[in-house]
Amino acid sequence: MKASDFAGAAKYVDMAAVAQKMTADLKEYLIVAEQEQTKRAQINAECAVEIAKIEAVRSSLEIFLDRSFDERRKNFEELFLVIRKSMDTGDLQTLERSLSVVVELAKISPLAEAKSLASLQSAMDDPNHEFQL
Amino acid sequence: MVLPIILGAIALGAGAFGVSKGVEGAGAMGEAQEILKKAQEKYERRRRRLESRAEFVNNEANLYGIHQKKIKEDVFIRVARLIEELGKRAKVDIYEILDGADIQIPSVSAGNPHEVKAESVLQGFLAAAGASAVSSAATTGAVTMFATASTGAAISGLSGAAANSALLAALGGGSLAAGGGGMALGSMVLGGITFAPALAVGGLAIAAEGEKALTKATECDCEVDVAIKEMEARETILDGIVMRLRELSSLLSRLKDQAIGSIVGIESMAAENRFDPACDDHMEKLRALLLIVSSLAQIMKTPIIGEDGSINPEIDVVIRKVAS
Repeated sequence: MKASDFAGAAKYVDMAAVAQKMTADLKEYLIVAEQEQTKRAQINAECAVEIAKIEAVRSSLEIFLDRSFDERRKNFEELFLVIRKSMDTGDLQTLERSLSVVVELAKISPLAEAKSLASLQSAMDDPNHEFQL
Repeated sequence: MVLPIILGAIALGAGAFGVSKGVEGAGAMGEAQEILKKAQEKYERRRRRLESRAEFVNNEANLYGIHQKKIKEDVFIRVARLIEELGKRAKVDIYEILDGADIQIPSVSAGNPHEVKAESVLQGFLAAAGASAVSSAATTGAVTMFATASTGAAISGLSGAAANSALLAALGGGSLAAGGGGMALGSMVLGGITFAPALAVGGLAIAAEGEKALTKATECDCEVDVAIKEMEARETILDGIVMRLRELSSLLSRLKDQAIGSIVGIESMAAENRFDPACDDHMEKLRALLLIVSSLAQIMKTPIIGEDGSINPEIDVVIRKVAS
């Protein structure tokens, strides 16, 4: 074999390198494609869990606020009936007591209570949370 | 003529595969861009809605402040004047009147579709350039190894311009004189062979980048969906603030009505000098009025949210107050 044949043979190895590179690239692509599809499925699943968690808190907060304000509205209605009646009759003791209940009830904000509710909910969600009794 | 057909077929197959993968990758990138664009649009839409809700809360807080101010004028100052008319001294406290509510809405980046595309295409081209250089050397190497020149001499035994001409003629299926396609066809085949692996490798690289771009877009889309859900939760809290403002406002109105009724009664007595501090009935009327005024004052000072002013670590609401 002449020296130039060796040179040709060396270049023939490059042809194999092309085939090798294309095969390696194809394999790499198939791995990447599978990995990316798995990542996407995982992202979508985690996203659905996160959204469901936020929605559960949001929805319980909405129900809590609606019911709470509704119940308070009814209580205030009744208290003002008593206030009006005690004003008409001059019953100052009942008036003072009723006004005091109105003020105390007004001071309790359902939004502050909702905060406690949200804290309790996050404590329930946290597997490491320890309740101090 | 067999060699150029075989090489051409391989080149065609590799090229077609590369093109199809490249198209697939470009399609995935386009899909990723579309996902990002829609995610950004829905995020902006939801954010605008929350901002307008925040502005609504600000207006409601402002209206509550106007209501407080009016009560101060219509009840507190009027009662102070009435007490002075009755020969006693009275002082109206300085109250903190609501001036509005500042609500901070945090931002979420929904990604940049242009960055994704530019990066991927660049990587595809770089990979293609590398494959092209390898394949060009390999093809000429293979032809040099196996083919013979039209003179019958092995190409591997030739050198310089003679070797190049013989190589191109061999790729063309032999010289024109021997019934082959000659150097012209050879040049075309060599061009195709050089380009095809580049297309295949480039196509695969673009397809892989397309998959990555789709993942990145999915991630951004999910972040936006979570951010939208959080905005919905914030809106529920804002609705709660509005309910609270209206509740307190309604209480102030009701107490004000009771107070005004009493004020009018006592004012008329005072105007006609009929108010008698020694009369139990008159004093009970005045005491009832002062009880209502005291309740009004306490409700005026009641915090809208909670004692510490915060609702939730996720939402930053600052109730603005001014002294009045």
